[in-house]
Amino acid sequence: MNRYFVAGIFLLIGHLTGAAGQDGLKQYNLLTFRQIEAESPWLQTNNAAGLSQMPELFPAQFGVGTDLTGGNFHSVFEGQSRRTYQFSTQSFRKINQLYLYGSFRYDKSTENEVNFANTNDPVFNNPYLLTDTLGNDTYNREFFNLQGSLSSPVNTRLDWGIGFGYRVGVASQNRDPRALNKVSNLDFAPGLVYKGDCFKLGASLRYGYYNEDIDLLVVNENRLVTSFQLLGLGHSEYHVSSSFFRLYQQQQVGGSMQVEWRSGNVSNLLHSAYNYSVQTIDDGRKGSVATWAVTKNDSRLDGRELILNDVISIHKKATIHQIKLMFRMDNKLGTEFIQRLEKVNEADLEQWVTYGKVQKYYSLRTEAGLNYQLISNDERSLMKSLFNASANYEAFSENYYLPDHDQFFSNLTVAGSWLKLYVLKRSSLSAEVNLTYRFNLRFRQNLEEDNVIVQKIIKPEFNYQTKSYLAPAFSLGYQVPLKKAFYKYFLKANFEWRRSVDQTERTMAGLSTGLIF
Amino acid sequence: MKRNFWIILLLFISGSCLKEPDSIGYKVNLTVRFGPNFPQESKEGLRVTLSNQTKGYVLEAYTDANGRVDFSSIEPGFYRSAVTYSYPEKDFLHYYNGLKSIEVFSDITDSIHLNYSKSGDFIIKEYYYSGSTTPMGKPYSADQYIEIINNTNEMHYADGISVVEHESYGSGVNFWAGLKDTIVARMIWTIPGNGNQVPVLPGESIVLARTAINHRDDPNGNPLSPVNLGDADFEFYVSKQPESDLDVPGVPNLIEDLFVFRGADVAFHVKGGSALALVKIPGKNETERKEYLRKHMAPKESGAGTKTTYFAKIANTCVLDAVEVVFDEAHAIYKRFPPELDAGYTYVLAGSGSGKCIRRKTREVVAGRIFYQDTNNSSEDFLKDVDPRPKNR
Repeated sequence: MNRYFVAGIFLLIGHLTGAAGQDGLKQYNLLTFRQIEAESPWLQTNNAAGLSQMPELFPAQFGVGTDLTGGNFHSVFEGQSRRTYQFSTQSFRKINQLYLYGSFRYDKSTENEVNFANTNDPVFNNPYLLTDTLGNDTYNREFFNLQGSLSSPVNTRLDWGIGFGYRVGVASQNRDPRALNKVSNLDFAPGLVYKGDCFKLGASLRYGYYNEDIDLLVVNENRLVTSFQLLGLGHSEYHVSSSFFRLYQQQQVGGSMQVEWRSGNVSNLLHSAYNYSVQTIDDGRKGSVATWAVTKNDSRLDGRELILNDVISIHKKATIHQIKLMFRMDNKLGTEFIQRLEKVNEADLEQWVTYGKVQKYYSLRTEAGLNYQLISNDERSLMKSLFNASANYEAFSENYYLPDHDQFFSNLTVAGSWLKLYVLKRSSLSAEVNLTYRFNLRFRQNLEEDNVIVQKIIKPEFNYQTKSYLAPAFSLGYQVPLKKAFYKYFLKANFEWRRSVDQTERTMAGLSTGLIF
Repeated sequence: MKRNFWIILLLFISGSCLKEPDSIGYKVNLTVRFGPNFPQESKEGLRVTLSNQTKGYVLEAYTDANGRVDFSSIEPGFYRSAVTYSYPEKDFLHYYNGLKSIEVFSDITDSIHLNYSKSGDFIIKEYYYSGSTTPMGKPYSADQYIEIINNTNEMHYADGISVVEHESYGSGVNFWAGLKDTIVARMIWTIPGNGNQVPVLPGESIVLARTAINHRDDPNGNPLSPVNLGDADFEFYVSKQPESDLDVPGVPNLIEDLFVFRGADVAFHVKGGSALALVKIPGKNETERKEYLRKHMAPKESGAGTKTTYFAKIANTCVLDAVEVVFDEAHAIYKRFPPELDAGYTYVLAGSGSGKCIRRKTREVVAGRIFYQDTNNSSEDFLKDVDPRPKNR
């Protein structure tokens, strides 16, 4: 009941922020949201005041869809297959001088044959993951995602804006030890943009809070299982119990700055962002069935993220050339708590006593990318084709200190895509082809230990991350206007197939339908 | 101007990185104290292990001629260092065991004393305490058992040998740690006979069952139990409430010499709190044994001091074999048996209700006969989480 109530509230918000909005002048098509994304570098800066800098396009969309993913080329934390159903609505709108964006998305997914993950998003929490070694689990997830931002001018020179995001959901497994993950994520980001004659200056702040509460339960009575708390690169602690609790809490603060310079048809937007995060991880167990039941501090993960992007746009009549240079550095430092279970008072109550905190884990992910895109618009300034070519370099190094373990890899991914809209008599058709090739440049792995975690998780995951693959993809969309309404009905299908050098494969297919107006 | 921009940019990028940890590794220098009778020629090359108690990994090093080992780059934490040395003499294996708990938060210099011990005639081969689960999901532990084997080349008599459960379940500090060369028992059950009535051939074993039935088939059993104890040699039986403990006809009962917290049935801790020892209590018969025990009782007051309970003290020299069974790694710090009896510890990782047991490792197979490993270090000697197979059936 609550679920439907919440969904109803979110739907209403999505609708109020735009679903009713329609300027009636432009018949938005299947590509309009892609066009806004492609033409608006400000929207990628996380500065909500940048919403006022977007092109004068205000589409809205309702949609439902399903995705199916399957195959044996996947991360060890992913299942063999996953089916997702989603409902989404999003809209841009302008009321007088107020720019609005709102989106709501509901996802329900079933992931089959999950073997190790008890953490909802293992990539996010790496390296402090919770795993077990009893495989073939099914992970059911249900998530709501609400995003919104608004922006308006303060005066002729200054725009302000505010953005927020809220994601909440649960994930649960069907086999002992069955994890129940309650996840919530909140983001809040105010920003300003100062507009000069031929330049713009922007600044924004960001606060984020992430919370994941994992309740690992063994439903079969009087049965204990082993859960592993990974510490990085094959190191772990384990506990045998019929229940286990883990709480991830992350606070994140950050800021970003933007400078845009414009001269004639040429503009350049330089964007930098810096985020600092602190994540704490605590454990616990239930008293009646466990040999200890008090809260244990497991670890702490400090993170710093630096983003530098530069986007050069050249407008030529109906075409826009855009060159984007990207650099991102994500750095994490892990600290372990050295604790021992002791009876600390006369009542003989057990507590984990902290003896020290030791920095043990360090990782650095560096990404650099070069992207070129060519946007062609029709006479109504609606996008009719998009060409994209990119090369992205990624390097990731991880170190665990004492006993020293380390691994490193670097990959280069090149991709090209071509999207085209074909206008038919009453309807229109879009087609996109995409080809991605990732190849490994270098890798190194030095692990002294050869335990079950190394064999089952660390080495296979490293193998997956360093494996070269080729991924052709295509998608088709069909759109037809409805009678007596501005609405257009659309149907989209997309397909991607990945094949790695050792012949493992992964197929992703999706189908969605809805209304755009 | 341009140069300044790039310098500022580089400083910004490098300043954005978190500093790599200063990896503080400590040195642990240990000296093995061999004692006067240790063979001089064996002092060099002795294997010394250093086990991280939290993460479970084990480092090893070998002694020099002075018995010194140096571990370097050791992460801070709680460790246990162990030394084991054995040599054969006639039909016996002689063992030296040393064990030390070490807290590493700075450079450490310490010593480990080796204690002499001799492999017993009878040893515990298999100990199944975790119990199983019924089809209704209920716990079932009546299928617990202990298997004792004659690990020598000669026939020995098992009657008069007692199974002893340590007083402490190992959930806290051992109250009796101050008692020298003595263990304290809460429960003692003895194989009946005058010392010449229960012969056990070399390599043969006897099974002491909590309830000697085929647990898989018997209406009183559990179809999901992993064991058939219908041919057990002896049975734990408590005559206090006959309806609460099944007395299987044809299977002799063990003698109840001591049962401090006497309940309606014998039950070993399914989570692993029951540390066991095989002992030979002085006395030719039940009367003499009980008289000995009566003279060696140790009082313990309850927490509030309102009640005193008496337990039995047993000299280490009476112990034939001891197996330190703990709840889990977190409770291994509450080890009860001294290193000369058991330098290690073990447990069923899969936990209670798992239907798994601990079994001694095979040392060697000679002409089809298995000799089991008994270094008096349960961490080394036992396999964890194996399927129970009483008498290898």
